Amino acid sequence: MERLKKELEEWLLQQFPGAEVSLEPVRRDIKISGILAWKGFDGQEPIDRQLILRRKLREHFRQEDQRRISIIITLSPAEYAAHREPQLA
Amino acid sequence: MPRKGKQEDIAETYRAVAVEHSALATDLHDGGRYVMAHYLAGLAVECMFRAYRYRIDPVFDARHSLDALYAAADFAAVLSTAEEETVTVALTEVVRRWSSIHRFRSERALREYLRQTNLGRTGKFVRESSRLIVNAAIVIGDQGELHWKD
Repeated sequence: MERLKKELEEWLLQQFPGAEVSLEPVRRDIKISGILAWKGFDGQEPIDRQLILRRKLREHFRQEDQRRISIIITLSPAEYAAHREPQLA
Repeated sequence: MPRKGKQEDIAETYRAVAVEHSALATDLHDGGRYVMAHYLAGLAVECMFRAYRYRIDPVFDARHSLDALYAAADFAAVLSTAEEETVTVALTEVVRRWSSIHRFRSERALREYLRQTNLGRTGKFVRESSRLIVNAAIVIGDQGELHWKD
């Protein structure tokens, strides 16, 4: 899992220059989920962002690894900044 | 095992609250109450994730971060690959439009929040944002309901 997490993180940073990436294990370390914040997503709808990401993932990763990549939330930098605002209890 | 029963009862309560909040968010949107429609839509998603999480771990998780709660709830475990892709798009829509702080925002403050995050600038974008977040919350809630007995 650690190998895939590292590979995915490095690959995302290469494919989406200047992006911020935050990944974490889910399903008791079976899968990886996270957030990809990239300026190119600004003004794009979530479905279009996912289509770009999923196409790239399909081109690079083996099917076995693709199945281990769960949700990756795609945000613009402004959306990510708002998301990281302190949330009140 | 009484403790197990209580744990299931509380999880069931979270699920029921998620369903109620989702319906109320729709009513609020239809009634033009867009700030609370935003807030309750996100809260409905939070409650559904808390319902799933509580079945795994009854220790309260104080975070309001929906992506973190999604992971903690192991929600991915009940979804097929196609469902997971649908939920990803819906959760992205909710995450980018929601904050627990919305409950303290006026409509003017929400308008400014959406402007600052480049989610609207002209026209009736607060209403459109409300429509999008409520619909996305319904998509996630439907998946939660569909797989609750799995």
